[in-house]
Amino acid sequence: MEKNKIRRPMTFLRRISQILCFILIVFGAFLGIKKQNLSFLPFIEAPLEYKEQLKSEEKGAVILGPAYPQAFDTYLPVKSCRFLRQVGTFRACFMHFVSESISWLTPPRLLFSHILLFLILAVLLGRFWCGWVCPLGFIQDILNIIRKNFKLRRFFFSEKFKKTLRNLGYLLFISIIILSLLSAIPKLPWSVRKQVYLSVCQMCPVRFIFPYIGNWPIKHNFSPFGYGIFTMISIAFFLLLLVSFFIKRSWCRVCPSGLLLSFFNKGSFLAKRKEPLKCTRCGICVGVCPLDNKEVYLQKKKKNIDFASCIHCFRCIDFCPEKNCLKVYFLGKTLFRSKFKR
Amino acid sequence: MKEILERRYTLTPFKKEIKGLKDAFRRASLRNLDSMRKRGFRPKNISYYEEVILGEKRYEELKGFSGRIIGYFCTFIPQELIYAARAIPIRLCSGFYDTVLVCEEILAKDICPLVKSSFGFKISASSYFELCDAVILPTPCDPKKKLIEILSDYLPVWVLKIPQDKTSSSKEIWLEEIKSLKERIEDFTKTKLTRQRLEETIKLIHKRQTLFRQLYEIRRANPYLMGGRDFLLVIQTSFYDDIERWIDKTEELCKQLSKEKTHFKTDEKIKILVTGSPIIWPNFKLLNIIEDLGAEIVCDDLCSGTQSLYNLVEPDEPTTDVMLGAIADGYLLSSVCPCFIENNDRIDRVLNLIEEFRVGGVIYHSLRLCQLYEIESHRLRLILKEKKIPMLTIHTDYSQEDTEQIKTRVEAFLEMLKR
Repeated sequence: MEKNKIRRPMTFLRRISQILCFILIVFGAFLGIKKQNLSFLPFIEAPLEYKEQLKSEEKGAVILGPAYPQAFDTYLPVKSCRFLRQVGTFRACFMHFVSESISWLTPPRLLFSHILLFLILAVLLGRFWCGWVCPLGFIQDILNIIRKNFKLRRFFFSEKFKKTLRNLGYLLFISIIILSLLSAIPKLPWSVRKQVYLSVCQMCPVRFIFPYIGNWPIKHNFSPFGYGIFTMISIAFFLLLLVSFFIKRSWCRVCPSGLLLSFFNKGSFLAKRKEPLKCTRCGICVGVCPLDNKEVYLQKKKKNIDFASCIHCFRCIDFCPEKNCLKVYFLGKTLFRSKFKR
Repeated sequence: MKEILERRYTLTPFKKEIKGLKDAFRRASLRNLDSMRKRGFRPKNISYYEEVILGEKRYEELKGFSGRIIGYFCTFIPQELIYAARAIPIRLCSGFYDTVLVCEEILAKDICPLVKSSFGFKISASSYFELCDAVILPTPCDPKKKLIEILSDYLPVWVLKIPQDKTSSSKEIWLEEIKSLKERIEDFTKTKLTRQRLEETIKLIHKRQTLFRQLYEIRRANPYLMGGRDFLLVIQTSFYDDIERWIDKTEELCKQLSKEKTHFKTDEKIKILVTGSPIIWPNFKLLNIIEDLGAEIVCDDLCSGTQSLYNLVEPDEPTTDVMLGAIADGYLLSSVCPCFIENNDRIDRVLNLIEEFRVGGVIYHSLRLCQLYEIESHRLRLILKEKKIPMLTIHTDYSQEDTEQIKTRVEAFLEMLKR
């Protein structure tokens, strides 16, 4: 047997992608990439920094809210996570955009290009971001790898609890929308609206990670009310994320951003297919799945094995011992297929 | 640890020495080997496997082994656990006719011949069965279930209760069974199955299985390289042989065959898939008939054949719990034993083999009094009929009496396939 052969090519590629994306997302500015220069449409003038607007509001001026001059502001490069303003390059999270644009009741014509970009990416790739790009996913994977090397026990959520977490994700998603709408009530003074403004970021577990690794001096910069309930929630979510030391990808089961992308998983062009006859139902795919999904294992009637909670990490395809049983398609072409490994 | 067997009535074990059993076994084996040697091309080191299956040398070797020897039945027993305790597993399922007669002296006639044959070895105190310090028995069918009770008079018997299906609740029960078996083995051999040992043995067995798959792939690419009986011979020697030596020899065999590849492409024969009840050495009657008539057994889904080495235990990480979980899954989930309520996996397996090997016809070996397989043949026949794949069901047992009868039936079947 050759020793240098990469036994799990997909996982290998994914780790490289995750590391690169993590560096870009968290420390991208240090690599000489200036955010402003990434502008794809430089002729559109950037609006006032809305921080300044907030200052002027206190003096009685009308707040316009952040404008969205570039499509890439929302999802891909340019705009970084708000906890990494100075050092990050882009963010993999879409919820901030949803929440913010609702809060400021941004007119749809301004959002059109952003939504279009999001739709294109989501339809093309589905939840690809969760497995290959998301820095939170990477942190969870790292935590799990540490546990693996210490040979500590791996735990599992029960099926019931997994369902509860998924429902919690829906609840979170809906409450974020409602809270954003609350913060958008025009007649309310800013001091009131401020309390629920950007609730998604206030509840995000990242609040206790990114400021400490990237955003010096550490600034949480949130509403006092938020420091109460929202901080409690975010601490809870942060703890849930730390649980991924024992249970793989524990936060991903709640994450509202992943939930939003998961709606596109079934129809996306990045697709998994299975030859039902070739599958011997050996159950290896369940054991290696970070979210311990059973869908790939259970499906024996249809070829299509795309489902909502898959994060496209393709570990099942890496591990599947049956030749040509599982395949990854992108835009109709086979990217990768399961092999028998010597 | 809770004992499963209460053993309220312990009887003095019935034993009967029978002379000439060894010679009879040798004669039966040589009869098969003679028939197999008629084949034009056979790989060079197949003679090694022939020697192992005759058993005499290996028997002496095991007799001198200082550690524990643990016998087992069926494909459900995780050999990883046995090897990890530095013990040697020996599969005791037998296909020898003469011991059936021995057994019939105390058990009724209408019992599965496999159980009778295996138990006969214990009565006559011969062969590998006598060397075993303990036996692990699963509960796939009724004869094996009662064999547990009967054998408990002779030697320590551990039970591995097989769930009725493969749902997640059954998987949990099965995992508990595996864990308790691990404790039992630890208790018995006085060695702790540490994480490192489990990891080592999982790797060892994984190596054996992947090597087997390599051989399987070679045969898939060109089934005529190696006869179906030779293939089964190689598989069945792994039940008895020293695992590391078997791996070395089979590696050699694979190398030899992959060199040979080009010469045998034009040789066209009728391709046969054999499925159904286990066919175990020296009961190669049906296989001998098929191959002597000029057909080629290209694949099988027998639990004494491909299925016993095909399935992999693939733990995601080397932690004890995950490894035990992977062992439990590896032996339960991909099993195609008819002991499960719904056995679609077997039908899928057969259909896939037909597709992959471009099989001409299916021969269903239905061992007399093996009810589970007999019942299952019905559904399989109907499904194959729909797909227009001919299937022949052969009801037989270990005796040689019906050889001619079967021969005419198989001949007619092959004749039909030729058209």
